[in-house]
Amino acid sequence: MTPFVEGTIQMMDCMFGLSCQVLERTDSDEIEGTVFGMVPLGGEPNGCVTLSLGREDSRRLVAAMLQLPYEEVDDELIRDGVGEMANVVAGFAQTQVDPAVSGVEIGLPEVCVEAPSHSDTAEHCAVASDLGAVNLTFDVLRALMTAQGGQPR
Amino acid sequence: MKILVVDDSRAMRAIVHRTLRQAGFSNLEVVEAGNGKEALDKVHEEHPQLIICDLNMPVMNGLEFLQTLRADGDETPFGFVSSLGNTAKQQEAIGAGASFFITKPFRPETFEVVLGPFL
Repeated sequence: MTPFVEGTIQMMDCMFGLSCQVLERTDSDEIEGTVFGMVPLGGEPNGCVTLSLGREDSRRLVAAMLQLPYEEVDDELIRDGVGEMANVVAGFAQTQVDPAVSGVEIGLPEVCVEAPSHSDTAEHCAVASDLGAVNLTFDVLRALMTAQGGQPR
Repeated sequence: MKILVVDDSRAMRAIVHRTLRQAGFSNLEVVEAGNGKEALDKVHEEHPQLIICDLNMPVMNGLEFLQTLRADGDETPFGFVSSLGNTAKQQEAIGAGASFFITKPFRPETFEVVLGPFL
């Protein structure tokens, strides 16, 4: 999970000038996520990393990103902005993870409006700032569990 | 001086524009395009002196755009700003004629150093 957490911290610093702290989260901590950026992980193990942002947090962050007034940020801009955040985080993680060594290939992010399913073994954390938090879910076993009859949610 | 910023993300085009200002490049006219095909039209209409382009875009990606430009004999300075951080992609871009490759996330200082010779 570390390259994605580091990538999120870098992204918050470079794109917003925000310093952050990493907080623990559990699966039961609810996020009113309007937008999810999902980064597929190919190879072995495979799965995905999901960035999820609550509605108000995402709007504040995208407003800061684009230097627009909060009220001018609409849903389309939020999706676009969160997609870019996922792009940047995935790009940073790519520079930290050598597929030849780790066996994991980081794919191109997708933006979704509904929460992607994840397994019981997924790990969670939040990278929190004054403007809002980017929540990360790291799920490397999803495909394996599905193949073995597991119950991804 | 006129710069063409090419990215399918409006958010990222705005960030590049803002970062150019933060890097101290204030007297710039910035024109935008959302993919390589649109960018080719902008090159013919606007004649930019520098092109800053994303790699992954729909319709025509950044590499195809650069290759088309160079095949047409257009030697406008061209560089990529992309989240694709792997060196193979960067080498491919430089081999196709790109003058620089900036990886996201970036800081104004990076723009200042990398773009300074062109602006």
